[in-house]
Amino acid sequence: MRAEAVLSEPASGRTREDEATAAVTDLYRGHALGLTRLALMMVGDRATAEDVVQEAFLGLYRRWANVEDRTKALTYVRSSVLNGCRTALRRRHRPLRAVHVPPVWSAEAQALVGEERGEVMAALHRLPVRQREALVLRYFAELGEAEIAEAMGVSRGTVKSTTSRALAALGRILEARS
Amino acid sequence: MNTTTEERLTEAMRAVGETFGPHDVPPLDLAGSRGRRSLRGRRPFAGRPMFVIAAAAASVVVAAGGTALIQNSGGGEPDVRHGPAVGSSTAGRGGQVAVFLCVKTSARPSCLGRDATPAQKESLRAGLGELPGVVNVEYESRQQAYERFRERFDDRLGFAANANPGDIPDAFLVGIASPGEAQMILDWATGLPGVDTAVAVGS
Repeated sequence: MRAEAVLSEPASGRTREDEATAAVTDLYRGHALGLTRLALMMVGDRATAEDVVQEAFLGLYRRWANVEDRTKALTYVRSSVLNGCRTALRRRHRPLRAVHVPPVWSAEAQALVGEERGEVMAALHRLPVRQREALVLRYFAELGEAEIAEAMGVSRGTVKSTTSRALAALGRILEARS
Repeated sequence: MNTTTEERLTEAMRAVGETFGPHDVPPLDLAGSRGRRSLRGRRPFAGRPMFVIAAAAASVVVAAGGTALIQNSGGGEPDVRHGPAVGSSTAGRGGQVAVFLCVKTSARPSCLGRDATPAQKESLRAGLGELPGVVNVEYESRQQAYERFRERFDDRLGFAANANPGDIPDAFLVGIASPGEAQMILDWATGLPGVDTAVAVGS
């Protein structure tokens, strides 16, 4: 009995860590694919998309003890992914990026997805980041308005107006091209 | 009109999303909570070229060997195609492995944005030749790769107009005795200096 009592002290600490590892790993298993694809739509290259998603899950893991509503973990990660994408896109405007990655909207990339889809992606990437987010969350991730509002950290009204403006702008860009 | 835009957008994103398949998801690296993750050289599969060059080049190899792509770590869902047997002297009975070399546009961080050096190529060729199960090793230059690529993609995708000979990486095409050897060669080659991506081409 005494030995067990002594052992239980560090064991409980380890258990909490194990629980975080298990929970975050499960979430990753279920959602990494969808979230990486979502990030790919936002940043345009898979290396950056993978990095952003890893960072988001790592962030969740580190903050696991402070995550009050565990059912919101996915919402939290999704927001982190969008944030990470914004940061990556901002960084890209700086010069001296060591590695050139052909983005999804480049001419080369159209080889595998086809010209028509490449054109749509190119048009999508001419939109402001917020508008792109709204479209990606709705038409790719197929989220509802409330979930999109949560992920973007804005009101539902803003989601609605951003989405319709984005769609209209996208339509105009595509029309001008054809 | 918005319906059309919506449909086009949904379709395009679905297709682009599928270029990143379930097998492309890297393992979760929670160890990053201890050491600081640097942007370079952390995960073995990070920083692959998006999906264009290596995957396209791989399908060229596939076409040339008259075989099916069984694994494609170069990007995208493994796109299993059967090409006509144009006949490559390299395609062994057990299939082959294509080891694509670093080029300036490689996204793999270990490539450092440079072409594979002659010394790296030399040691890769020697090393590949010594692996058990390897029947032969053939070097395919960028010009050769580009020509195959043009043949394959020219009219259908309008890609060739946008591709330059230097865009398609050169590669070692490794003929193997049996398909079972492929994984061993992939493991061996992946991450070596001068290697961008290795893919197995089955028979």
